[in-house]
Amino acid sequence: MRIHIIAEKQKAAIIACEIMRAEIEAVALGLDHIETRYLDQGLHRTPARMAGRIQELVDRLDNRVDRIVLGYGLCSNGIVGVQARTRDIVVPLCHDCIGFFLGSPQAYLDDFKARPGSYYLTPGWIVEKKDPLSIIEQDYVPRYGRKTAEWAKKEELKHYTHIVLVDTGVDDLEPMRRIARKNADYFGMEYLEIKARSKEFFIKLVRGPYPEEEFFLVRPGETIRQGIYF
Amino acid sequence: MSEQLDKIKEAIVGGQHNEIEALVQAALDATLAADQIVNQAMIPGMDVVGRKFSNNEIFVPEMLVAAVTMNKGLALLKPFLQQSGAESKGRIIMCTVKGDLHDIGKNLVIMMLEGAGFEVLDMGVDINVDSLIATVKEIKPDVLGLSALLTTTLPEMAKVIEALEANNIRDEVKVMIGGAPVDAAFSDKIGADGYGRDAAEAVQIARQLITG
Repeated sequence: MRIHIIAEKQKAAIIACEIMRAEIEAVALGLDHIETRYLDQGLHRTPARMAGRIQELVDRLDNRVDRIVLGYGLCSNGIVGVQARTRDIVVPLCHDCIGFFLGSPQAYLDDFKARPGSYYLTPGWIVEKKDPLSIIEQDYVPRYGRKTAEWAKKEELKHYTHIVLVDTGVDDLEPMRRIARKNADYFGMEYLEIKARSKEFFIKLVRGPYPEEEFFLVRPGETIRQGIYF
Repeated sequence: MSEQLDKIKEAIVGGQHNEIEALVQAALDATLAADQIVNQAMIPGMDVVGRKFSNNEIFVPEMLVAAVTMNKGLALLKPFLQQSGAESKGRIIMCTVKGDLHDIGKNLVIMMLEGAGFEVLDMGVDINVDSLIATVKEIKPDVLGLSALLTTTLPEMAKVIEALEANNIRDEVKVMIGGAPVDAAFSDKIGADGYGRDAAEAVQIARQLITG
Protein backbone atom coordinates (compact mmCIF):
# COMPACT_ATOMS: atom_id res chain seq x y z
CA MET A 1 0.00 0.00 0.00
CA ARG A 2 1.41 3.37 -0.97
CA ILE A 3 1.20 6.16 1.54
CA HIS A 4 0.95 9.86 0.73
CA ILE A 5 2.05 11.41 4.01
CA ILE A 6 2.94 9.80 7.28
CA ALA A 7 2.00 12.99 9.08
CA GLU A 8 3.52 12.34 12.48
CA LYS A 9 3.55 15.50 14.57
CA GLN A 10 2.81 17.67 11.54
CA LYS A 11 0.59 20.57 12.44
CA ALA A 12 -2.71 20.00 10.72
CA ALA A 13 -6.02 21.75 10.30
CA ILE A 14 -9.11 19.68 9.68
CA ILE A 15 -11.91 21.48 7.86
CA ALA A 16 -14.99 19.33 8.14
CA CYS A 17 -18.74 19.23 7.96
CA GLU A 18 -20.53 19.74 11.27
CA ILE A 19 -22.18 16.37 10.76
CA MET A 20 -18.99 14.51 11.77
CA ARG A 21 -17.92 16.71 14.68
CA ALA A 22 -18.48 14.03 17.33
CA GLU A 23 -16.54 11.38 15.38
CA ILE A 24 -13.61 13.72 14.67
CA GLU A 25 -13.44 15.18 18.17
CA ALA A 26 -13.40 11.68 19.63
CA VAL A 27 -10.15 10.89 17.83
CA ALA A 28 -8.59 14.39 17.93
CA LEU A 29 -8.94 14.69 21.68
CA GLY A 30 -5.64 15.64 23.35
CA LEU A 31 -3.77 16.09 20.06
CA ASP A 32 -2.34 19.62 20.33
CA HIS A 33 -0.99 19.67 16.79
CA ILE A 34 -4.46 19.21 15.29
CA GLU A 35 -6.97 22.04 14.98
CA THR A 36 -10.50 21.51 13.84
CA ARG A 37 -12.98 23.78 12.06
CA TYR A 38 -16.56 22.87 11.20
CA LEU A 39 -18.94 24.26 8.62
CA ASP A 40 -22.73 24.16 8.64
CA GLN A 41 -24.01 20.83 7.36
CA GLY A 42 -26.81 22.72 5.53
CA LEU A 43 -24.25 23.28 2.75
CA HIS A 44 -25.15 19.72 1.73
CA ARG A 45 -28.32 21.14 0.23
CA THR A 46 -26.58 24.03 -1.51
CA PRO A 47 -23.38 22.48 -2.90
CA ALA A 48 -22.81 25.53 -5.11
CA ARG A 49 -21.92 27.49 -1.99
CA MET A 50 -19.70 24.87 -0.40
CA ALA A 51 -16.38 25.42 -2.16
CA GLY A 52 -16.35 29.14 -1.39
CA ARG A 53 -16.89 28.59 2.32
CA ILE A 54 -14.19 25.91 2.46
CA GLN A 55 -11.77 28.09 0.49
CA GLU A 56 -12.17 30.93 3.00
CA LEU A 57 -11.05 28.61 5.77
CA VAL A 58 -8.22 27.14 3.68
CA ASP A 59 -6.92 30.65 3.04
CA ARG A 60 -7.11 31.59 6.68
CA LEU A 61 -5.39 28.43 7.95
CA ASP A 62 -2.85 27.92 5.16
CA ASN A 63 0.19 29.59 6.72
CA ARG A 64 -0.50 28.30 10.22
CA VAL A 65 -0.24 24.56 9.62
CA ASP A 66 1.77 21.97 7.68
CA ARG A 67 -1.22 20.38 6.00
CA ILE A 68 -4.95 20.85 5.64
CA VAL A 69 -7.35 17.93 5.68
CA LEU A 70 -10.91 18.06 4.36
CA GLY A 71 -13.64 16.24 6.21
CA TYR A 72 -15.80 16.23 3.09
CA GLY A 73 -16.75 13.82 0.34
CA LEU A 74 -17.18 15.02 -3.24
CA CYS A 75 -20.62 16.08 -1.92
CA SER A 76 -22.43 16.59 -5.25
CA ASN A 77 -19.37 18.45 -6.58
CA GLY A 78 -19.54 20.81 -3.58
CA ILE A 79 -15.78 20.72 -3.03
CA VAL A 80 -14.86 21.06 -6.72
CA GLY A 81 -12.78 24.19 -7.25
CA VAL A 82 -11.17 24.37 -3.80
CA GLN A 83 -7.53 25.28 -4.32
CA ALA A 84 -4.47 24.38 -2.26
CA ARG A 85 -2.42 27.53 -1.59
CA THR A 86 1.02 26.82 -0.10
CA ARG A 87 0.20 23.62 1.81
CA ASP A 88 -1.08 20.26 0.61
CA ILE A 89 -4.75 19.51 1.09
CA VAL A 90 -5.58 15.92 1.94
CA VAL A 91 -8.96 14.85 0.53
CA PRO A 92 -10.73 11.55 1.21
CA LEU A 93 -11.68 9.71 -1.99
CA CYS A 94 -15.32 9.36 -0.93
CA HIS A 95 -18.25 10.55 -3.01
CA ASP A 96 -20.24 11.01 0.14
CA CYS A 97 -19.48 11.35 3.85
CA ILE A 98 -21.30 8.06 4.33
CA GLY A 99 -18.05 6.46 3.19
CA PHE A 100 -16.33 7.91 6.26
CA PHE A 101 -18.99 6.54 8.57
CA LEU A 102 -19.00 3.12 6.93
CA GLY A 103 -15.23 2.93 7.36
CA SER A 104 -13.80 3.42 3.84
CA PRO A 105 -14.67 4.67 0.36
CA GLN A 106 -14.88 1.06 -0.81
CA ALA A 107 -17.23 0.11 2.01
CA TYR A 108 -19.63 2.79 0.79
CA LEU A 109 -19.44 1.69 -2.86
CA ASP A 110 -20.04 -1.93 -1.82
CA ASP A 111 -22.97 -1.06 0.41
CA PHE A 112 -24.42 1.26 -2.23
CA LYS A 113 -24.21 -1.44 -4.87
CA ALA A 114 -25.87 -3.97 -2.61
CA ARG A 115 -28.71 -1.63 -1.66
CA PRO A 116 -29.04 1.49 -3.83
CA GLY A 117 -32.25 2.47 -2.08
CA SER A 118 -30.56 3.18 1.26
CA TYR A 119 -31.22 6.38 3.14
CA TYR A 120 -28.34 6.53 5.59
CA LEU A 121 -28.60 8.12 9.00
CA THR A 122 -25.82 8.63 11.52
CA PRO A 123 -26.07 10.03 15.05
CA GLY A 124 -24.81 13.35 13.63
CA TRP A 125 -27.58 13.58 11.05
CA ILE A 126 -30.17 12.77 13.67
CA VAL A 127 -28.80 15.23 16.26
CA GLU A 128 -28.80 17.94 13.58
CA LYS A 129 -32.44 17.04 12.86
CA LYS A 130 -31.71 16.03 9.29
CA ASP A 131 -33.62 12.77 9.26
CA PRO A 132 -36.51 12.96 6.76
CA LEU A 133 -39.25 13.39 9.39
CA SER A 134 -37.37 16.24 11.06
CA ILE A 135 -36.75 17.88 7.68
CA ILE A 136 -40.51 17.81 7.13
CA GLU A 137 -41.16 19.42 10.51
CA GLN A 138 -38.29 21.90 10.65
CA ASP A 139 -37.68 22.88 7.07
CA TYR A 140 -40.72 22.01 4.98
CA VAL A 141 -43.83 22.63 7.11
CA PRO A 142 -42.99 26.27 7.91
CA ARG A 143 -42.35 26.97 4.24
CA TYR A 144 -44.95 24.90 2.43
CA GLY A 145 -47.61 23.87 4.97
CA ARG A 146 -48.08 20.36 6.31
CA LYS A 147 -49.90 18.76 3.42
CA THR A 148 -47.41 19.81 0.75
CA ALA A 149 -44.47 19.18 3.10
CA GLU A 150 -45.43 15.57 3.76
CA TRP A 151 -46.35 14.91 0.14
CA ALA A 152 -43.10 16.42 -1.19
CA LYS A 153 -40.86 14.39 1.11
CA LYS A 154 -42.69 11.19 0.23
CA GLU A 155 -42.25 12.01 -3.46
CA GLU A 156 -38.52 12.64 -2.95
CA LEU A 157 -38.02 9.32 -1.19
CA LYS A 158 -40.50 7.14 -3.02
CA HIS A 159 -37.88 4.80 -4.51
CA TYR A 160 -35.89 4.40 -1.29
CA THR A 161 -36.25 1.00 0.32
CA HIS A 162 -34.22 1.13 3.56
CA ILE A 163 -33.47 3.46 6.42
CA VAL A 164 -29.94 2.48 7.42
CA LEU A 165 -28.72 3.66 10.81
CA VAL A 166 -24.93 3.64 10.99
CA ASP A 167 -23.56 3.05 14.48
CA THR A 168 -20.37 5.12 14.54
CA GLY A 169 -19.67 4.27 18.16
CA VAL A 170 -19.81 7.79 19.59
CA ASP A 171 -23.30 8.17 20.97
CA ASP A 172 -25.88 6.28 22.93
CA LEU A 173 -27.68 4.63 20.06
CA GLU A 174 -31.04 3.99 21.69
CA PRO A 175 -32.62 7.44 21.13
CA MET A 176 -31.20 7.47 17.59
CA ARG A 177 -32.66 4.06 16.93
CA ARG A 178 -36.09 5.24 18.00
CA ILE A 179 -36.01 8.15 15.56
CA ALA A 180 -34.58 6.08 12.72
CA ARG A 181 -37.26 3.42 13.18
CA LYS A 182 -39.97 6.07 13.27
CA ASN A 183 -38.73 7.31 9.89
CA ALA A 184 -38.68 3.80 8.45
CA ASP A 185 -42.26 3.19 9.62
CA TYR A 186 -43.56 6.50 8.33
CA PHE A 187 -42.10 6.07 4.85
CA GLY A 188 -42.78 2.35 4.68
CA MET A 189 -39.10 1.40 4.42
CA GLU A 190 -37.18 -1.43 5.97
CA TYR A 191 -35.04 -0.60 8.97
CA LEU A 192 -31.43 -1.69 9.07
CA GLU A 193 -28.55 -1.04 11.43
CA ILE A 194 -24.86 -1.24 10.56
CA LYS A 195 -22.14 -1.33 13.13
CA ALA A 196 -19.40 0.29 11.11
CA ARG A 197 -15.65 0.67 11.39
CA SER A 198 -16.05 4.45 11.41
CA LYS A 199 -13.40 5.03 14.05
CA GLU A 200 -10.66 3.48 11.93
CA PHE A 201 -11.39 5.92 9.13
CA PHE A 202 -11.61 8.97 11.38
CA ILE A 203 -8.27 8.07 13.00
CA LYS A 204 -6.69 8.04 9.53
CA LEU A 205 -8.42 11.28 8.59
CA VAL A 206 -7.19 13.13 11.66
CA ARG A 207 -3.77 11.61 12.27
CA GLY A 208 -2.68 10.01 9.01
CA PRO A 209 -0.98 8.14 7.46
CA TYR A 210 -2.99 8.55 4.25
CA PRO A 211 -3.10 5.48 1.99
CA GLU A 212 -3.44 6.28 -1.71
CA GLU A 213 -6.50 4.11 -2.13
CA GLU A 214 -8.47 6.25 0.27
CA PHE A 215 -7.05 9.75 0.01
CA PHE A 216 -5.58 12.03 -2.58
CA LEU A 217 -3.29 15.01 -2.21
CA VAL A 218 -4.01 18.36 -3.75
CA ARG A 219 -0.63 20.00 -4.22
CA PRO A 220 -0.07 23.76 -3.81
CA GLY A 221 -1.70 25.61 -6.70
CA GLU A 222 -3.84 22.65 -7.74
CA THR A 223 -7.63 22.58 -7.49
CA ILE A 224 -10.01 19.76 -6.67
CA ARG A 225 -11.68 18.32 -9.77
CA GLN A 226 -14.55 15.88 -10.21
CA GLY A 227 -12.37 13.66 -12.43
CA ILE A 228 -10.15 12.68 -9.48
CA TYR A 229 -12.96 10.49 -8.19
CA PHE A 230 -13.46 8.37 -11.31
CA MET B 1 -46.74 38.30 -24.92
CA SER B 2 -50.44 38.15 -24.21
CA GLU B 3 -51.64 38.73 -20.70
CA GLN B 4 -53.08 35.22 -20.58
CA LEU B 5 -49.77 33.57 -21.41
CA ASP B 6 -48.11 35.74 -18.79
CA LYS B 7 -50.55 34.58 -16.14
CA ILE B 8 -50.01 30.92 -17.02
CA LYS B 9 -46.26 31.33 -16.84
CA GLU B 10 -46.57 33.02 -13.45
CA ALA B 11 -48.88 30.26 -12.20
CA ILE B 12 -46.27 27.64 -13.11
CA VAL B 13 -43.47 29.60 -11.43
CA GLY B 14 -45.60 30.13 -8.31
CA GLY B 15 -46.93 26.57 -8.28
CA GLN B 16 -50.58 27.74 -8.33
CA HIS B 17 -51.95 24.31 -9.08
CA ASN B 18 -55.48 25.25 -8.05
CA GLU B 19 -55.65 28.10 -10.53
CA ILE B 20 -53.88 26.68 -13.54
CA GLU B 21 -56.82 24.89 -15.11
CA ALA B 22 -59.00 28.00 -15.15
CA LEU B 23 -56.14 30.02 -16.62
CA VAL B 24 -55.48 27.49 -19.35
CA GLN B 25 -59.19 27.25 -20.13
CA ALA B 26 -59.41 31.02 -20.40
CA ALA B 27 -56.49 31.03 -22.81
CA LEU B 28 -58.15 28.34 -24.94
CA ASP B 29 -61.42 30.26 -24.89
CA ALA B 30 -59.50 33.27 -26.16
CA THR B 31 -58.48 31.05 -29.10
CA LEU B 32 -54.84 30.76 -28.17
CA ALA B 33 -53.30 27.62 -29.66
CA ALA B 34 -52.39 24.76 -27.35
CA ASP B 35 -48.81 24.52 -28.59
CA GLN B 36 -48.45 28.26 -28.14
CA ILE B 37 -49.55 27.91 -24.50
CA VAL B 38 -47.01 25.15 -23.94
CA ASN B 39 -44.09 26.76 -25.75
CA GLN B 40 -44.64 30.38 -24.81
CA ALA B 41 -45.94 30.06 -21.26
CA MET B 42 -45.41 26.66 -19.65
CA ILE B 43 -41.90 25.81 -20.80
CA PRO B 44 -40.63 29.35 -20.14
CA GLY B 45 -42.27 29.09 -16.70
CA MET B 46 -40.40 25.88 -15.92
CA ASP B 47 -37.27 27.53 -17.25
CA VAL B 48 -37.61 30.17 -14.52
CA VAL B 49 -38.24 27.43 -11.94
CA GLY B 50 -35.09 25.60 -13.09
CA ARG B 51 -32.98 28.71 -12.76
CA LYS B 52 -34.32 29.49 -9.29
CA PHE B 53 -33.54 25.92 -8.27
CA SER B 54 -29.97 26.20 -9.59
CA ASN B 55 -29.54 29.42 -7.63
CA ASN B 56 -30.84 27.81 -4.42
CA GLU B 57 -33.73 30.26 -4.30
CA ILE B 58 -36.14 27.31 -4.21
CA PHE B 59 -35.82 23.63 -3.30
CA VAL B 60 -37.27 20.29 -4.34
CA PRO B 61 -40.80 20.85 -2.95
CA GLU B 62 -41.33 24.03 -5.01
CA MET B 63 -40.03 22.16 -8.03
CA LEU B 64 -42.49 19.32 -7.43
CA VAL B 65 -45.43 21.69 -7.00
CA ALA B 66 -44.49 23.54 -10.19
CA ALA B 67 -44.40 20.19 -12.00
CA VAL B 68 -47.85 19.25 -10.69
CA THR B 69 -49.13 22.63 -11.83
CA MET B 70 -47.77 22.19 -15.31
CA ASN B 71 -49.05 18.64 -15.47
CA LYS B 72 -52.61 19.76 -14.68
CA GLY B 73 -52.40 22.40 -17.38
CA LEU B 74 -50.99 19.94 -19.89
CA ALA B 75 -53.77 17.45 -19.19
CA LEU B 76 -56.26 20.07 -20.37
CA LEU B 77 -54.21 20.81 -23.46
CA LYS B 78 -53.47 17.26 -24.47
CA PRO B 79 -56.59 16.65 -26.59
CA PHE B 80 -55.90 19.86 -28.50
CA LEU B 81 -52.22 19.06 -28.98
CA GLN B 82 -53.18 15.67 -30.42
CA GLN B 83 -56.12 17.05 -32.38
CA SER B 84 -53.97 19.53 -34.24
CA GLY B 85 -52.61 16.48 -36.05
CA ALA B 86 -49.02 17.48 -35.51
CA GLU B 87 -46.67 14.59 -36.08
CA SER B 88 -44.39 13.49 -33.30
CA LYS B 89 -41.30 15.68 -33.23
CA GLY B 90 -39.19 12.64 -32.51
CA ARG B 91 -38.91 9.56 -30.34
CA ILE B 92 -36.99 9.68 -27.06
CA ILE B 93 -36.13 7.07 -24.45
CA MET B 94 -35.57 8.37 -20.92
CA CYS B 95 -34.31 6.70 -17.73
CA THR B 96 -32.09 7.12 -14.71
CA VAL B 97 -28.93 5.03 -14.87
CA LYS B 98 -28.12 1.89 -12.91
CA GLY B 99 -27.98 2.56 -9.17
CA ASP B 100 -29.71 5.92 -9.34
CA LEU B 101 -33.24 6.04 -7.96
CA HIS B 102 -33.76 9.79 -8.17
CA ASP B 103 -36.34 10.54 -10.83
CA ILE B 104 -37.76 13.96 -10.06
CA GLY B 105 -35.56 15.61 -12.68
CA LYS B 106 -36.13 12.88 -15.24
CA ASN B 107 -39.92 13.06 -14.80
CA LEU B 108 -39.82 16.81 -15.23
CA VAL B 109 -37.87 16.48 -18.45
CA ILE B 110 -40.34 13.87 -19.75
CA MET B 111 -43.30 16.10 -19.02
CA MET B 112 -41.64 19.00 -20.84
CA LEU B 113 -40.63 16.86 -23.81
CA GLU B 114 -44.16 15.47 -24.18
CA GLY B 115 -45.57 18.95 -23.91
CA ALA B 116 -43.20 20.05 -26.65
CA GLY B 117 -44.50 17.29 -28.93
CA PHE B 118 -41.97 14.49 -28.53
CA GLU B 119 -42.95 10.87 -28.09
CA VAL B 120 -41.27 9.62 -24.92
CA LEU B 121 -40.76 6.13 -23.58
CA ASP B 122 -40.07 6.32 -19.84
CA MET B 123 -38.05 3.28 -18.80
CA GLY B 124 -38.05 4.38 -15.16
CA VAL B 125 -35.19 4.25 -12.66
CA ASP B 126 -32.12 2.10 -12.02
CA ILE B 127 -31.90 0.77 -15.58
CA ASN B 128 -29.02 -1.52 -16.38
CA VAL B 129 -27.00 -1.22 -19.55
CA ASP B 130 -28.20 -4.47 -21.13
CA SER B 131 -31.91 -3.74 -20.94
CA LEU B 132 -31.24 -0.21 -22.16
CA ILE B 133 -29.37 -1.47 -25.20
CA ALA B 134 -32.10 -4.00 -25.95
CA THR B 135 -34.76 -1.29 -25.77
CA VAL B 136 -32.76 1.08 -27.98
CA LYS B 137 -32.44 -1.69 -30.57
CA GLU B 138 -36.15 -2.40 -30.42
CA ILE B 139 -37.56 1.13 -30.29
CA LYS B 140 -34.89 2.86 -32.37
CA PRO B 141 -35.29 6.26 -30.69
CA ASP B 142 -33.86 9.47 -32.08
CA VAL B 143 -32.53 10.39 -28.67
CA LEU B 144 -31.59 8.51 -25.52
CA GLY B 145 -31.79 10.65 -22.37
CA LEU B 146 -29.84 9.56 -19.29
CA SER B 147 -30.27 11.10 -15.86
CA ALA B 148 -28.33 10.80 -12.58
CA LEU B 149 -28.35 12.73 -9.33
CA LEU B 150 -25.43 11.04 -7.60
CA THR B 151 -21.79 11.38 -8.57
CA THR B 152 -21.47 7.70 -7.66
CA THR B 153 -23.65 6.71 -10.59
CA LEU B 154 -22.23 9.13 -13.18
CA PRO B 155 -19.76 6.53 -14.56
CA GLU B 156 -22.81 4.47 -15.62
CA MET B 157 -23.47 7.07 -18.31
CA ALA B 158 -20.08 6.38 -19.83
CA LYS B 159 -20.80 2.65 -19.71
CA VAL B 160 -24.01 3.16 -21.68
CA ILE B 161 -22.16 5.05 -24.40
CA GLU B 162 -19.45 2.38 -24.52
CA ALA B 163 -22.13 -0.29 -24.85
CA LEU B 164 -23.80 1.60 -27.73
CA GLU B 165 -20.41 1.62 -29.46
CA ALA B 166 -19.77 -2.05 -28.73
CA ASN B 167 -23.17 -2.87 -30.26
CA ASN B 168 -22.46 -0.73 -33.33
CA ILE B 169 -25.49 1.46 -32.75
CA ARG B 170 -23.76 4.58 -31.44
CA ASP B 171 -24.37 6.38 -34.76
CA GLU B 172 -28.05 5.54 -34.75
CA VAL B 173 -29.02 7.40 -31.59
CA LYS B 174 -28.10 10.73 -30.04
CA VAL B 175 -27.33 10.66 -26.32
CA MET B 176 -28.29 13.54 -24.05
CA ILE B 177 -27.45 13.54 -20.38
CA GLY B 178 -28.51 15.54 -17.36
CA GLY B 179 -28.74 15.71 -13.59
CA ALA B 180 -27.26 17.91 -10.88
CA PRO B 181 -23.63 16.67 -11.07
CA VAL B 182 -23.45 16.70 -14.89
CA ASP B 183 -21.67 19.52 -16.66
CA ALA B 184 -20.39 20.26 -20.15
CA ALA B 185 -16.90 18.97 -19.34
CA PHE B 186 -18.25 15.62 -18.18
CA SER B 187 -20.56 15.41 -21.19
CA ASP B 188 -17.62 15.99 -23.57
CA LYS B 189 -15.41 13.59 -21.67
CA ILE B 190 -17.77 10.64 -22.04
CA GLY B 191 -18.74 11.55 -25.62
CA ALA B 192 -22.40 12.45 -25.08
CA ASP B 193 -24.07 14.49 -27.80
CA GLY B 194 -25.48 17.07 -25.45
CA TYR B 195 -26.32 17.95 -21.90
CA GLY B 196 -29.12 20.01 -20.42
CA ARG B 197 -28.56 22.04 -17.29
CA ASP B 198 -32.26 21.89 -16.50
CA ALA B 199 -35.49 20.59 -17.97
CA ALA B 200 -36.10 23.56 -20.25
CA GLU B 201 -32.61 23.21 -21.66
CA ALA B 202 -33.19 19.50 -22.19
CA VAL B 203 -36.05 20.36 -24.54
CA GLN B 204 -33.81 22.71 -26.52
CA ILE B 205 -31.08 20.08 -26.72
CA ALA B 206 -33.55 17.44 -27.90
CA ARG B 207 -34.79 19.80 -30.62
CA GLN B 208 -31.24 20.54 -31.75
CA LEU B 209 -30.21 16.90 -31.74
CA ILE B 210 -33.21 15.83 -33.79
CA THR B 211 -33.38 18.65 -36.30
CA GLY B 212 -29.59 18.66 -36.58
